[in-house]
Parts: sequence; C-alpha cells; structure tokens
Amino acid sequence: MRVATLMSVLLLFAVTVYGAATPAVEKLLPVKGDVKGFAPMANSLTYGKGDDVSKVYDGGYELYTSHGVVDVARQMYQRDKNYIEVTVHTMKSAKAALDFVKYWAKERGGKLRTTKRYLGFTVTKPNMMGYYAMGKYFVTVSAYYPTAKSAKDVEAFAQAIWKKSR
Amino acid sequence: MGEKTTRREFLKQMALAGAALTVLPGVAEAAEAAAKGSSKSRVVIATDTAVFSQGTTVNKAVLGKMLGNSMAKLTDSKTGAQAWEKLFTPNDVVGIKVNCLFGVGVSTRPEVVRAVIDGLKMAGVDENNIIVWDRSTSDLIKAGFSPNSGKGVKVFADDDHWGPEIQRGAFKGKISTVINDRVTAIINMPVLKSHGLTGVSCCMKNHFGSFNNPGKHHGNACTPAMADFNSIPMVKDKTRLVVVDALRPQHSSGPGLQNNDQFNYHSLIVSADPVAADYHGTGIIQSELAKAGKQTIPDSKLIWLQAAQERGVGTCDPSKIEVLKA
Repeated sequence: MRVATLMSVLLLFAVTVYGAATPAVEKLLPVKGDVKGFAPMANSLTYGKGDDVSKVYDGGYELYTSHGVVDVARQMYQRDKNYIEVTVHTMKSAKAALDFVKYWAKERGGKLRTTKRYLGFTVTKPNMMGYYAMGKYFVTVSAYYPTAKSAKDVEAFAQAIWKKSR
Repeated sequence: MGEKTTRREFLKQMALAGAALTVLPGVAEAAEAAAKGSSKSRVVIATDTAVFSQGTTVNKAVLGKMLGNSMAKLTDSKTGAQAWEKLFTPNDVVGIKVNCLFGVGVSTRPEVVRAVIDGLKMAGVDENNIIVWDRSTSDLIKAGFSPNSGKGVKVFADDDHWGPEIQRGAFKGKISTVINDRVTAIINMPVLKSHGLTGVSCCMKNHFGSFNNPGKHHGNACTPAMADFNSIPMVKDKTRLVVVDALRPQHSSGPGLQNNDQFNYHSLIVSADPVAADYHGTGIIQSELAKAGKQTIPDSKLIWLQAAQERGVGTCDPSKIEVLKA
C-alpha cells in the first residue's frame, strides 16, 4: 500500500514537473488521436524562443521575431504517406497575431476569412497551407499531399489546435 | 572584397586539398583539374529555358542534358558519362547534401537530385551507396523527398542522432554522422536564394543543415563560423562537386518562400569549388536585385566569402575564377 502511495506521489510529481517544463505553445500541438489517423512523427518536434526561433526559421527568423513571435513549436504528423506540419507561435499580443496573418495573406495572395473561431486563410500552392490567428497564437498548418485530400485535414488540425488554445 | 589571397597561397591551399584526395588515385587529379582549370577555379553554368514546361514543371530530359554538358565542361571531358567517371569511382559512398528547410519552391528539387544520381550511376557508384540527406526527415518530406533507409538510394536525416562534437575556430557543434561516418565523397546541392543574415544562401550555407546547432552560428552574418565549418578537413576534402539548383532562385525575403521574389533563371551551376560557386551565385542575386530596382546586398553581409577564401575552402577572387557556359 505504501509503495503504491509512493509511486502515485512520484508519478504526480513527474507529471507536474513535465507540465511546468513544457512551454505553453508546445501544449497546443495536437497529440495522437486529436486528428483521426494522424500521429506525431518521432524526432520531429522543434521548439525555439527568442533568437532560437532560428531553429525553425534559420536565417529568416528575424522576420518572425520582428512581427512579435515570442516562441515557436513545430511538429510533423503522419498518416501512412500523408504528412502534415503544424507550427504554433506565441505572439506578443492577439493584435500581433492578427496583423501577422494579414501580413501573410498579402504575401501569399490568400483571401482572409473570419469564422467564430479564428481569422485565417488557406493557399494551395506550392502546397496546401493554412494560416490562422487564434487569440495570441499564430498557427500554420502545411500539408504535403494533394489538395483534394488535404484541405479537410488542414481544417481538422486547425480546429484541434483552436480547441486547445481556448 | 577586401584582402585577397596571393596566387601562391591559393595554389598551396588547392594543393593541400588535392593531397587529401590522394587516397583515390585518378580522382584527385580530375577533381583538382576541375577545381582549378588552368590554375583557376572553374564554374560552369548551364541554361535552357526548356527546362521548365507548363509553369515550373521540370523537363527531366532537358535537365539531364544540362547537367551532362556542365559536367563535361567542368572536367574537360567529351561526354557527361566520362566526366562522372573522372570524379567518382565504384568504390565511393556519396552523400548528397540538399537544402530542404523551407519546403517545395525554395528547396533543392528532387528532379535535380535524380539527375545527379543518374550521373553517379554512370560512374559505377552503387545506388545503395548513395545517400541523400538533410538535417531533419520533416524537411526532406516537405521538399518532396521520400525517406528511405532500405534498399536503393538512401534518403534520410540526422534528426537528433549526431556525430561527435567538433570545434574549429568559431564553430562548435555536433557534425552529421553522414559526413563523419558514412561517405567518402560529398556533393553539395543547394538551391540559390536570398538569406536575411548572409545575403545569399548557397553552397556553404547549405551545411547549416549538417550540424546540430545552426541557431548558435548565425551571428555576424554567420562569420567566421560558416567558413570555419566548411574548412573542417573532412567537409572540405570530401566535397568533390557542387551542383546548385538555380532553376528558379529567389532574390529577396529568403530563406523562406516568397513567390513574388522568385525569378526563372533556368540554370544549373556546377563547380568543384563551393566558394567560387557561391561567389557566382551571389552575382546572379545581386544582378536580379538591381533589375528589380531593389537595394543590392551590402558587402557587410557577404564577409563570409572572404573568410572562406582565407581558410582555403575555395576562392572568391574573380581573377581566379573561370566561368564557362555549357
């Protein structure tokens, strides 16, 4: 009985420590089961804060930090030969997130649309990709398989992230 | 471009690079000749507008011809096949370093890599001994490559499995196991594009996917860290060829994709000298910026070229570069 209690305490401690150590932005990334059929790929998680945003954007990172990106988490997901990459950015404010989506809409030629959940747009070239502002988070979802199949999946990922961001 | 390396120093550097290749009889002379071409570093440009059909779909036959002609010109060979045989042997294990960080449209095209693989096969390199690699599997997928660690051409990434830590000058990081453990020769295959910090991303910047901590080496236009990494003997000496995908470069806003800043150039740049290739690629970007009425890249962002020359990686002295058209 004592052993079981001790194990429970240790488990609770480990979960608490993990929770505290995991950046909030990383917790928004979908986990297995959030989007049917997709699971995170091993070794594909990247996190960067401040200048370490360059871990994701290499030399282009200053574009992101200058637009208000505080930190970023990226993960690739797989369902058979279908791959989707999710990138979630914490912005310095909700306005910064909105402005950054507008910036990208202009750059990528996307048509902005507002839903009850988020402001965003999708483009289909060179691959299916969605850009979204969800509160203080700026989110991109990229699919690397044909648009006909991937459009729904991109939307499903966006919704899964939105649920976690509330 | 600042202080130049003297001809004697340059030849000494090239001789040292050649000496390191003497483990492969015949290849050393060919590689050295290809790099120097009458004591100059040779850079070959092949251009054909027919390489794109229906937008930016690559015409593989045209591309193959462009590469074959470039290789022949680079090595003073009669045919492309002969050229590949001069640079590679059936005993080689060849690593092809691609740049895939930002996905389709701004990464090395799989079609260009396929053409290079076809060339290696002409030299008798077993396809099981060809490795296409980049830093992460995710990046390879994004650029249109299919991961494969089984039979045939290998396509894989280091992901979080790095080789030993190496310190050289301002560079300190864990090197790719592909370079450290697996290959006898490297073909550096970047895509030509702009870069926010270094002005241009081409051959030398491509190796920022060959170690574990690129984010730690971006300060001061990546200088001298980028030159230091490229001067690591196993990197420099194993690099036998560079093939730059310049079919549709990007002159601004890189390294991420910006459609409006891309331009059709319909070209491959082939050399054995990564610095000379980078120097020429930089000229292409600068010229296109001027054409677009944009500000050209200031010298302060291009200091890595001189740093690489000073470390014997190659030359950025135009009087020591021979540019040929294929």
